Amino acid sequence: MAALLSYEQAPPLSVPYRFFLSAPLFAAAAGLLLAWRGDEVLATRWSMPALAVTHLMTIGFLLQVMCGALMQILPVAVGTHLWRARAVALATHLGMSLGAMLLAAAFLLEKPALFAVAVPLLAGVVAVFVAVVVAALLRAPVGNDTVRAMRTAMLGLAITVALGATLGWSFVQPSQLPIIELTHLHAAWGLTGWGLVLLVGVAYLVVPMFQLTPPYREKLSRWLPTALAVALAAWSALWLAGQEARHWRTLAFLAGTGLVVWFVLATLGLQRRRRRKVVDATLRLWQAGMVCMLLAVLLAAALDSAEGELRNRLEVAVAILMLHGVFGSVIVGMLYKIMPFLNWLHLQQVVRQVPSMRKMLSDQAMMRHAWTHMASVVLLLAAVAVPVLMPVAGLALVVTSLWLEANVVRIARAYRRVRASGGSAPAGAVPPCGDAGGG
Amino acid sequence: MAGTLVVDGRDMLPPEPMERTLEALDEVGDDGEVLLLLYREPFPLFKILERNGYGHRTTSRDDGTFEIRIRRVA
Repeated sequence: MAALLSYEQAPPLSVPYRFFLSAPLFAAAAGLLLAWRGDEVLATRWSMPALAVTHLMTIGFLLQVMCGALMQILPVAVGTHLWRARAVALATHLGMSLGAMLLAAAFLLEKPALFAVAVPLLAGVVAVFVAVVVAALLRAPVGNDTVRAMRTAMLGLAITVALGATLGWSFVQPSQLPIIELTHLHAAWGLTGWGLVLLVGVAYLVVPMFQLTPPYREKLSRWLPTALAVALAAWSALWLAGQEARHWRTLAFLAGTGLVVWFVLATLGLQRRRRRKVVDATLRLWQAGMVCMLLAVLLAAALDSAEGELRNRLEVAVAILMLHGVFGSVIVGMLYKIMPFLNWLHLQQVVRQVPSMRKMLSDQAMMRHAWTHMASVVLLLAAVAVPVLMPVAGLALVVTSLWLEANVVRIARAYRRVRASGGSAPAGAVPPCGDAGGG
Repeated sequence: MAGTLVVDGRDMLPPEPMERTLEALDEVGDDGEVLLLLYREPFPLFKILERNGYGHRTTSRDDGTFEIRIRRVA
């Protein structure tokens, strides 16, 4: 029956792979910038190099992989179709790649003309992406907790980008808006309303599936994304209300912190009870991500009582923990499960003997890179305390990002090679030449 | 071979449950049934079944298990 298989609900492999193959290069660029101008990044999160590094990571790396993964997960795991998936992926990928480069250049060179191109471009492609994904989510045949979390996350992404576009445009046309307050909201919605809510929703699906754990408890999986969004909305409103609402704002922050800690402890607990006792790169990276999340909320809680240089350093540490430690670790871990699985799924259509997923990239190769990734997180955090380490830490980010790039290229090439050979070529052999992605 | 063949995919990593189910369908033939147990709904499998002339009925248990009964459509 295998020869008759059809996966028409799965978009072409090029749809997610174009994002996966280009994203690590942006993280490498962020590492180079850290190695070059890390002292300015450490001085304050408001410096132009800090903003350039942040957006290379958030738009260039994280948003790209998240978009690619969403476009794949929706049809395969949620059972819903994306409108013109190939065209939307092409436009979104080009727009985000170009937009991230232009925005980073705009911050570094402080050129309003570059903001004038980057901001509408990014806002436009994200608006199209959000519209297509929301339409697909509304058509989903099931209304499970992952679907509900994804709907909430898309609202978070829309708010993040609307705030970001407003802030970015203020470099083109100075405004009277409260820029500092809006920047805090932009960062909070990006990290929590979009990134964290999406991570939680995806965790419901992939932690039990790929790590063979029991499912998340219904009380947590049903309410946590909504509760996080409500706490964030309350915190945002109280932030805009000014100093007199400070105590209520702290309460909303603590409520959000409690929800995050609940999720982290639940995830680590499920992983301890996993039925498959093998330790692989994905498990270690998820665990590292959860530990980083705990550290990040602890440091974020200490921010209010810190001042001056200590506060600056703490803010940079929270950003490193969230962007590279939490989202970076989980994303690398997921790529090592999703890409071999997608290869397998698509190869079923064209070859009779599909090699095992484990032959696409060896467990050892993934684990070696996972340790390098975690070492780069530790080095970056160490550099916050000992700034002289920042050039080395920046280069560590370059190395781990280029290593990831090499590994995703190897997985993509394994697909091409097996497909071209009709199933007779070994998946793990290194080809003399060939292109990546496609499908 | 008529009758019901059970594929318990709850302790298997993807894509093994799908591979085992397809093998089981070959084994039970046109009159038999395959019962697949999973902690999630396998959407890619549903489409494959539909295109190859199989029907399926899904029910869920309190422990989060989905029971998917698959047989050839008459």
